[in-house]
Amino acid sequence: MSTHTTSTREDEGVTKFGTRELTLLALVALVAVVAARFVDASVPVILAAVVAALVPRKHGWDVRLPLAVITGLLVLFVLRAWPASSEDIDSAAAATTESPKLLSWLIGLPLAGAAFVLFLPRQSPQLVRNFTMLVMFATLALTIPLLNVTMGRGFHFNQDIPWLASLGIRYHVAIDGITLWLVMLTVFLQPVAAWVSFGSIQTRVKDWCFALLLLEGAMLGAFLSLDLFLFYVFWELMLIPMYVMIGVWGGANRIKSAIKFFLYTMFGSVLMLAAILYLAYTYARVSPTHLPSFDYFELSRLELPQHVQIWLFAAFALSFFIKVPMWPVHTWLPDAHTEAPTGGSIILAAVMLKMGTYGYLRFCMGLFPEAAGSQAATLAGVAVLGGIVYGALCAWKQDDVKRLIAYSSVAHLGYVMLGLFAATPASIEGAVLQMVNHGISTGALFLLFGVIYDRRHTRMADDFGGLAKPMPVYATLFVIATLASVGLPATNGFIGEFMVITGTFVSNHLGHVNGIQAVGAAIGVILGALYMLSVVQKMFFGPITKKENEHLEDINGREMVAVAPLLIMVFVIGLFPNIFLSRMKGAVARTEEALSSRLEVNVPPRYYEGPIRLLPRATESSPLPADLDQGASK
Amino acid sequence: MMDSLFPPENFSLLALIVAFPLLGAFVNGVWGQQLGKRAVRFMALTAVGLSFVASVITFLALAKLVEHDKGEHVKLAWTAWEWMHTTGGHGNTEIPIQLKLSVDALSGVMMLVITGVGFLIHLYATSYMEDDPAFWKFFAYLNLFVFAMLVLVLADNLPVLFIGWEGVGLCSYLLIGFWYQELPNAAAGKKAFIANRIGDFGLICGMFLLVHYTGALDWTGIANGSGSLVSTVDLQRVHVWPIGGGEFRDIGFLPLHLLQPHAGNITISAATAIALMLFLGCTGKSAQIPLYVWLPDAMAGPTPVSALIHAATMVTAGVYLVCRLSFVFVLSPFTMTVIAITGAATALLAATIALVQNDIKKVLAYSTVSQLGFMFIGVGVGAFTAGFFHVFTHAFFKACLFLGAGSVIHAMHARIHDGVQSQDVRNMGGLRKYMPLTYWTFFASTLAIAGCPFTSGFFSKDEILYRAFVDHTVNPFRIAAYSDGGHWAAPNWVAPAVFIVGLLAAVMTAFYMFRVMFLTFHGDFRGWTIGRASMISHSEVSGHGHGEHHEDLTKPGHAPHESPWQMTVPLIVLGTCAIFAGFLNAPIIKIGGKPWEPMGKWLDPVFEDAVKAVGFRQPGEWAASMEWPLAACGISAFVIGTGVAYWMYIAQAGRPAKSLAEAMPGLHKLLMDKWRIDELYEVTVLAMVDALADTFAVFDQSVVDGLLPRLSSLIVVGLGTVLRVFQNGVVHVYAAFMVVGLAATGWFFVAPHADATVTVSDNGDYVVQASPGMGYSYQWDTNGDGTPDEKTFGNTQQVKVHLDPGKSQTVRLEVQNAFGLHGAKEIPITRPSAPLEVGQL
Amino acid sequence: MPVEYYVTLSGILFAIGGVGFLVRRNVLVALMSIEVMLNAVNIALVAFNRSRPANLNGQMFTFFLIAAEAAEVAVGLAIVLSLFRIKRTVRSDEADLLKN
Repeated sequence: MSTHTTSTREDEGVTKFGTRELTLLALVALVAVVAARFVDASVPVILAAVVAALVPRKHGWDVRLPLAVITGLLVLFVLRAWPASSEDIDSAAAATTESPKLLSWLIGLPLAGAAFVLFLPRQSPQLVRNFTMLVMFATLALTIPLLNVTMGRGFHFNQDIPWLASLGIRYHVAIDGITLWLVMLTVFLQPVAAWVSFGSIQTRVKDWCFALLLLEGAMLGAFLSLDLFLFYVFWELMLIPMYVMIGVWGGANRIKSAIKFFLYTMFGSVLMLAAILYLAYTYARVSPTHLPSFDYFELSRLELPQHVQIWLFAAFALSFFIKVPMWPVHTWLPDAHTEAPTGGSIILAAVMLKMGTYGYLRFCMGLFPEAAGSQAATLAGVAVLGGIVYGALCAWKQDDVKRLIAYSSVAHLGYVMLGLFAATPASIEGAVLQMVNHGISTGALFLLFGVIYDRRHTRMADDFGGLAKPMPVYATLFVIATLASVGLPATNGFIGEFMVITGTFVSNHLGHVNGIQAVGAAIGVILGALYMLSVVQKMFFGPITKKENEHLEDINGREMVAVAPLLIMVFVIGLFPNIFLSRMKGAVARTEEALSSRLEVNVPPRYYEGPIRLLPRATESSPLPADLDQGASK
Repeated sequence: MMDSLFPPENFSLLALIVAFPLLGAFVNGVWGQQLGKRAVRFMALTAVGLSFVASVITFLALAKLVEHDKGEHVKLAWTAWEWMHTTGGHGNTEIPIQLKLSVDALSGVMMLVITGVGFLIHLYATSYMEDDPAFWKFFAYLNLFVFAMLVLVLADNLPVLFIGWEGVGLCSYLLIGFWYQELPNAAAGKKAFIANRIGDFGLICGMFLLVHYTGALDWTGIANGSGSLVSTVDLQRVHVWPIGGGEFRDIGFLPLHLLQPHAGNITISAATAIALMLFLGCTGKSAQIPLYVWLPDAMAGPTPVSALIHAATMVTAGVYLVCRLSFVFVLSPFTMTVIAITGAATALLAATIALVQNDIKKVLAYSTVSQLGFMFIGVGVGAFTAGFFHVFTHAFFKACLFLGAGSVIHAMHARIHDGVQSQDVRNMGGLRKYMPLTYWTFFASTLAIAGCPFTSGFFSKDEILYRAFVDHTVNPFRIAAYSDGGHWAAPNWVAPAVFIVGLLAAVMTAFYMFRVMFLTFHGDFRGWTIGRASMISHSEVSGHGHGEHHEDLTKPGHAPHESPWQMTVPLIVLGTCAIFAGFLNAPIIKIGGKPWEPMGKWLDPVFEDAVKAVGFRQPGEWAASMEWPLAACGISAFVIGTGVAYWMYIAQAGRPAKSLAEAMPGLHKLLMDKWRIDELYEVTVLAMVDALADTFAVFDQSVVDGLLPRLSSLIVVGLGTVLRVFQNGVVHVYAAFMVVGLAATGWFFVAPHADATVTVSDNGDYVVQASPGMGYSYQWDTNGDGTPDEKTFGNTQQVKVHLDPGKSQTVRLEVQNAFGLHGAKEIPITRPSAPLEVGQL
Repeated sequence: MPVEYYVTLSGILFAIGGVGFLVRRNVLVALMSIEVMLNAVNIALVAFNRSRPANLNGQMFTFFLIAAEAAEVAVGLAIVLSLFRIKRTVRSDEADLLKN
């Protein structure tokens, strides 16, 4: 039927493997056998070798090696992190080998690296780049001990030392099963973003590296800190590098977008600061020591009447909703994404947005359970209509591909928020997993679009068309990322959406509307396919309409190395979600039970009425190792 | 030996069955370009072939097991690992979801069909796609499809089935858009994917309903929990209106209470909700009303794809799902009726459209839709075996028809290098003498689909029609002997109506199939000159590069020729099956008084739960007595349809058709335009969604993004413009402001300020504390009698006031400052009845 | 001689200085008026110190003030000079570079 076909490649006839490939394979096999003797699990090595052999002929070892290493490491991760059995995970015995300093190292290393970058010569950008990558990989390596601990219900690697004792401000960092994956996401995506950005960003490399490292440190700090003051410090510190990234390396009207981004997020966070201070000094009024405290566990013991709690909840929630972003405060996101450089977009979408969802899960639901419970139904409605449906339909109507991806983020995070509002174990686990999923699939989409943007310097879908002919490999990778974002089963997107939707339907926090909200969320599955496939068709299929597109260079080695880990993770999460679920299960159960228990003691409207008071410290409510528990209570 | 190697509970051979095609897809997809055509062909064929061999072995093992314990619903299962979990059921327990494959009688047959027919079609395609530059990609996709389809049928729970379910959708998307450079193909692929997604939406809804009500997603779990699906207790039913229960109250002026139904909330049983949602999924995948529109467009893909995906396997997935969850569907007689009626309507609608189409693939596509309608009639009336048996036979004759059509198109294309022209039956005719093998196989399967007696199609279709007439789904509430509620049973006119509609569709089927066959193979070849002219211009405007075909188009091309053996062998095999496969289940044939139905016997354990709910409409021998009369109806349908076709296109050489078309042009046009259903959707559903999206997009830009930032910026700008006025830069003006400020401060110190704060002391008394000031002296009137406590001003800065609960009192404070000026304040104090606590106020 | 007289005198001087500073547009005159005000304060300080001779705080502050005046005059005159260089004028209402 060749008359139909005007295909991408001319046929090569019957060409078997050349001697080059054969020798290559032999070499690889040798390496595999040798390495298998030293690594106890030989599978990763062999798979890595296979990948190295699979890389198309035109790429040299500069591409093969990184790809092979990435594959090997990820396979090793799967093999090691695979839950052996469910009971030894439920046993929340904190490992005795936890060093309390580890998390401080994790936060401090990037910050110190950022400071050190300032003293590197501006004239040799390559040195700065290498140093940045080095620091990021070191940070990544530091997270290995986190995976070896059986995260139970509790917090681990707890470090809690006084900072400003008179104000009750402490340096308190700890990690549990929920933050574990957000931290992993951060340290996993930062090198990717840095690596891909080094290709496109050639001006002010030193400042860029500084911003990257500062951002990484700040984000890790925000995820890990359990002292509200400390959290706020990192939360604000996060803004500045991103603001600079958009404002300096951004697109045409970057200044407007940067300011918009800054004002929106700032507006929310000052309200949160006021609320934090009110909480701390309310605590001082009612605590026996008459000292304020910013400690998460202490403040979560406060029992507030409705008229107080609702306002504090509003202040916290607004700042988080702006960050997520939720309708109607989402409009900063498309502008920020369109103007931000590729690396910035990846970090912004993949990690920074999760600050909002994580903040809601940890602080809004932890500190104001009654308010969170009573508002859940309404907010879930906003998440479904304003997030999933509205965001998807808006995305469908965008001509600017980066705007489209931004709106798709609004839709995806609608799922996350819905899962949090529904607050059943499955829905919360699904939501946390969906945070990671969105980070990976949307990060991959932004990365891949950055590839074509570097070649054509336009964001309009109509400027492309028929790209599958000149850049087949690129088209394949983009379609894979698209399918992940659409939520095809066996990719990561499906797991999160499925758990959120089922969890939502069985939830009893949403009143009688949980059913219709689950259905609305399911409709999002259709709309997702609608807008993603439309843009894919516009960009890749059909005849080539523009002259410039005819001889585009296909995705090159550096970009392939950058996107490989993301696309591998897509299937790792899609096929082995239990690696992630088993570790977060305990922490999610703790959160969910804390919420429900507070909601069940009082009759609807579920609020405790009367003067503000402190609840007794339950053994479960401060799930720290026993010796450290005293520290938190001072 | 088998048992020791593969124990039934850990039957790892299933993994191999699935793994081979996946491996083939992987190797071809990644290495396909380096490997040449021969290697790719070898890889693809071995992958599917090995999978087929493994399937046969598995099937034999299964048969052995069935022999071993008779009547039991046995299955061979293999668990990969625990995939994920969710919460649901009663008390929100955790539900683990395994990546688990299992094969039982039902999926065993499907497995054989998929791998067997799949192998033949692969073989066919190796020659059909010979010249395609993207040869390797095609086979990668095709293997991937076989993998996904196998996962679909071998899945042991709904989520795993969903992997395959969407996987086949993806492959169909990729293969329909295989020649993606023509935009229509890509658009057709997208259309198919989204239509399927609408169905998947239903499937997802069905899944979470099942999770909630049965607390399980694997087949056995659902079967065990299905008892809780039918209930008259209000809480255990699905509230349709008001949505999810609850109650409408007025909001402001909106009289929402009018929406509140008077006679209690409208509820349906969970079974009905679940079954309807699952059926929505089936309509998407199996191209039933309302979601059938994608299948005809899907013919844009290569013909082997149409044969494998859009005829033999994927589109029957919906029927498979209904059979698989038959025990859930029978719990909802309403849904069963809906399925039967939908099936009948689809069968008729598609058949009417197929009557007049000229594109040979389009005709086959609509006949596929129509045949799927028959299958749904079968499962809808509770004749699951019959419905599934039609899936089985249809796989053979429809695949054979498509491959035959492909062979014809292949031949036509050799001389008319045009996709549209070479598929138009008006350009064919008399091909019998050029390609006899194709002709005879096509003829055989046409007989089968038309329902010629003792061909496979006859037995399967007749069984369906027979059961449609006599069957009746018993209301589960009657089974469970509930006192009241949910007494819904299909009205009596449904069964005859479905039967008659089905019969009508059968007549049409016979007619249009023979029409196509006569037009294609009989008469003389009409393609000598037609289409050449069109091709000349076509090849000039777009000289898309396939040099080997650029011969002089002005000369008449060489005659159509028979296809090579890779294409004819599958045709022969499938044609033979199309004739004889029917004898696997021919209950109408009695041997020793017992109906001859090995297939039925084989499938009985699968449907034993379901068929309990199905009975004959009238008791006694009535049903048996109806058997031959109804069979006679079926045969007469075949005779009429064929006869009319022969009369029109052979005897009268097509003149009656023309005159009919001219007699009623409106109807003819309408049929040509497929009842304009697509256009209807475009102006209704699509237009609505589109308008909504536009509204949202504009709203987002103008209102959400416009109002919020602009308002706030307006406020800031306004304040700024006001304050700027004072900053005029003249030193004297600043100085003047300074003086004013100084004066104000000065006055503050001169004027007296009487003020006090009230707190509660530890013993519960109120403490009134006067605020200090420069040279202030105080005079109190604590008891509020108007006269001060002391005559002179003193230095007592705070006084204590004791109050009983509920009492209130006014304390008067007078201050005198250094300038001798006086100021006074009255502080009212009220003690609430509630006990006070430290730290209040 | 009672202290009230001195205080009254200083008040009058202060008022003159203030009004002068406010109404005169010549920067030099404005500077002088400031001097007048400061000296009024000096007089008051010295007078009060004389009426309460327990310590010498008042006179000490006076010296501080004189030093401050000297410095201020120096700075002020420098500003006036640079202003004159820029705008060829010493009228303060023409020196409105700070406007807006």
